[in-house]
Parts: sequence; structure tokens; C-alpha cells
Amino acid sequence: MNLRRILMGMCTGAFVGFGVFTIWPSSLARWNWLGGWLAAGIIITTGWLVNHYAGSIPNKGGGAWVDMALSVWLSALLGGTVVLDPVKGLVRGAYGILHGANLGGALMTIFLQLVGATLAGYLLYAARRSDV
Amino acid sequence: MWTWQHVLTTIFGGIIFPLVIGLVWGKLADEYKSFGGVLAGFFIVGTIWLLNHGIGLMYEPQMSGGLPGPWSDMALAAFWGLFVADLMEGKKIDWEPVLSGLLGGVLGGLLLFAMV
Repeated sequence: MNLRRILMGMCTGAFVGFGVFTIWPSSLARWNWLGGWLAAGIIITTGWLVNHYAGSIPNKGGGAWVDMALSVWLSALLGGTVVLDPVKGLVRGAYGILHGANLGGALMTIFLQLVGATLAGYLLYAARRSDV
Repeated sequence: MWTWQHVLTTIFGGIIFPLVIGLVWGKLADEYKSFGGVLAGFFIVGTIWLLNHGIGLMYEPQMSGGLPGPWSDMALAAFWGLFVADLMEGKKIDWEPVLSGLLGGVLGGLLLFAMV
């Protein structure tokens, strides 16, 4: 456990989490679905460059890969989303658990996302095993 | 209300995102280095976002009503799919990146909470 690496990963993880849920809804509000597509390239790319290309999140070869997506998901769940609306200015898009939003409403979505992701994980594992 | 259609589309959304990342992202990064990540950002995350949240394969009924939230992003599927694939391969949980990711989420959430 290297505390300084964890602290650095925490800062850059928060950067991508905050960035995604401010830039993405704002870009979507301004340019509609094309804005949503562009937002991915703007913030996910920058987040990936810092967190994984430069390696700020301390993944090592032997351990199971922890993606910056963990920070991204948790950020919105806890803090909701913020929209820079072209007309109304800076407004709230969604509320998070920190605002008192009820986690129960999201549980079914979370469960089914995990079911799908587990299936995908198995498929990836099977694909990697077969091409060696 | 949840129907079997929503169950099906949400699970499929959860499959496709980590699957495409796991298959394509590494190859792009190997071939084009940092520019591969730029391509991956647009063509993997951007395009799959259009399906999962833009069109709405992933059903989020909690987003209607007076206090919309909490939002469960497709990022959960990306993290979990890649993590599980490695665990199945026999890799161990490394708590340093796990803790980084969790604390990053908490700080990011606090920042989002503090805005507006």
C-alpha cells in the first residue's frame, strides 16, 4: 500500500468522475445526441490519458484491472449530475445519494448492469483463453 | 415500471460495453499509443453511450419524478466486466487501485454535490 499513489489516483479519479457528469450532460443539452457522442471523446479520452495511459491509478500487472469507470460510476451515484444549460445556465440534472436520493430506485438497474457485465467478463475470459 | 423488455435491454447494455472495451481498447492503444485512446474514447465510449444512455438500452426508472436519481452509469458495467474477466483468469484483487477508484468516486461525488 503506497498512500501517495492512492492519493494521486483519488485526485485523478475524482477529476474524471466530476468531468464526466458536468461536461457530458452539458454537451448533451447543447448539441443533442451528437453532443453526447462528442462528450465521450472529450472527457473519457482525457481521463484515460491521465488515469491509465500515464498510469495515475496504480494498476500493476499481477492484479485484476481496476478501471477509472469505478470512480465515474460512484461519482454520479453519490453526487448526481450538473448541467450547463444553454438557456437556464448551471442547473442540477440528477440528485445523488448525498442529496438523499433513494438508492432503492437504482438497485434493479445496478443489478442488471452487473449481470450483463459478468456475462461479458466471462466471454472476455473465454476469448483470451482460446487465443493462446 | 420494469418489464421484461427493460430487463433484456439493460442486461444487453451491460454486456456490450465491457465486451467492446475488452476486445478493442487494448488493440487501439497498442497500435496507436495515446492516439488509440482518443479513437477509443469517441468510437467505443461515445458510440456505446448513444445506445446505452442516449437511446436508453439501460432502463433507469428512478430518473423520473420530483427527485431524479441516483444515476447508475454504464461505467459500472465497464469496471465490473473488466474486473471479473481478470478474476476468472486467476488474477488477485489489488487493493491499491481499488481504493484509489473508490476514493476518487467519493471525492468526485462530493464535488458534484457541492456544485449548484
